[in-house]
Amino acid sequence: MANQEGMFMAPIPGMGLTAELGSTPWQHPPQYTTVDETLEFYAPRVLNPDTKDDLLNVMEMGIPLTTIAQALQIGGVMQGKHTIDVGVLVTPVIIEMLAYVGDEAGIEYNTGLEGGKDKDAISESEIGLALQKIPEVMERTEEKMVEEEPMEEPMEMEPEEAEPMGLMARRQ
Amino acid sequence: MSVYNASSLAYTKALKDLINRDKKPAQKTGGLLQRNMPKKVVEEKKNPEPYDSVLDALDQVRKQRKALLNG
Repeated sequence: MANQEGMFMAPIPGMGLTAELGSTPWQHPPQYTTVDETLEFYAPRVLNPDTKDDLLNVMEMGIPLTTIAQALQIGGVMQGKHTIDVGVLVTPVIIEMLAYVGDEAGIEYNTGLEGGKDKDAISESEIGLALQKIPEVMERTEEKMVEEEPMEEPMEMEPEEAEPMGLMARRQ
Repeated sequence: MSVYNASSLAYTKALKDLINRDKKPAQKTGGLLQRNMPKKVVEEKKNPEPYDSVLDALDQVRKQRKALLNG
């Protein structure tokens, strides 16, 4: 059923041609046309100390570096920063930069070339996220407890004897 | 093929090409019919291919990373 709904949510053929040409950033000439320019765009963003913590959290959660790099470069394409072919070319360098950031912070990360991570293992960042959510969950639970009024006990009713309705029943 | 596989493949290929780039071609052993050809003067490319720039950048970052790991 869920698959059927997903099927109907898909774009219809030709839907991509309904928007006006040039209405999206990637339909314009890219801002950076060479590999060097594109790398100069990404390097400060990956190595930025302000965003490094979020990046490290994502890496510690076990998201492969290849996936993060792919998301970054696809984002660049969508913003019209560079073309998709330049994005594919610079992806290995972005992955290497992410690995450098991970090594610098001394965390364990998955490059995306190894097998999957141990599913039973829980990383420190996952534990941290769960601990952050605990107060919210506690508040919600307390609110629910207050909203729910105690149920009144139903009165015990004596079952009435059903009068016989058949033809042979005695009338009183 | 998954979209995310493309980046894995690109990374693997770049690493392989980077390692192979630094390797020198094996020298042929001298035989009876060996000819000593004059060495061609290798001209430095003025406009390197985009992929060469990628390999150079990858090499730089890898060296930095190795230096970091080695302390």
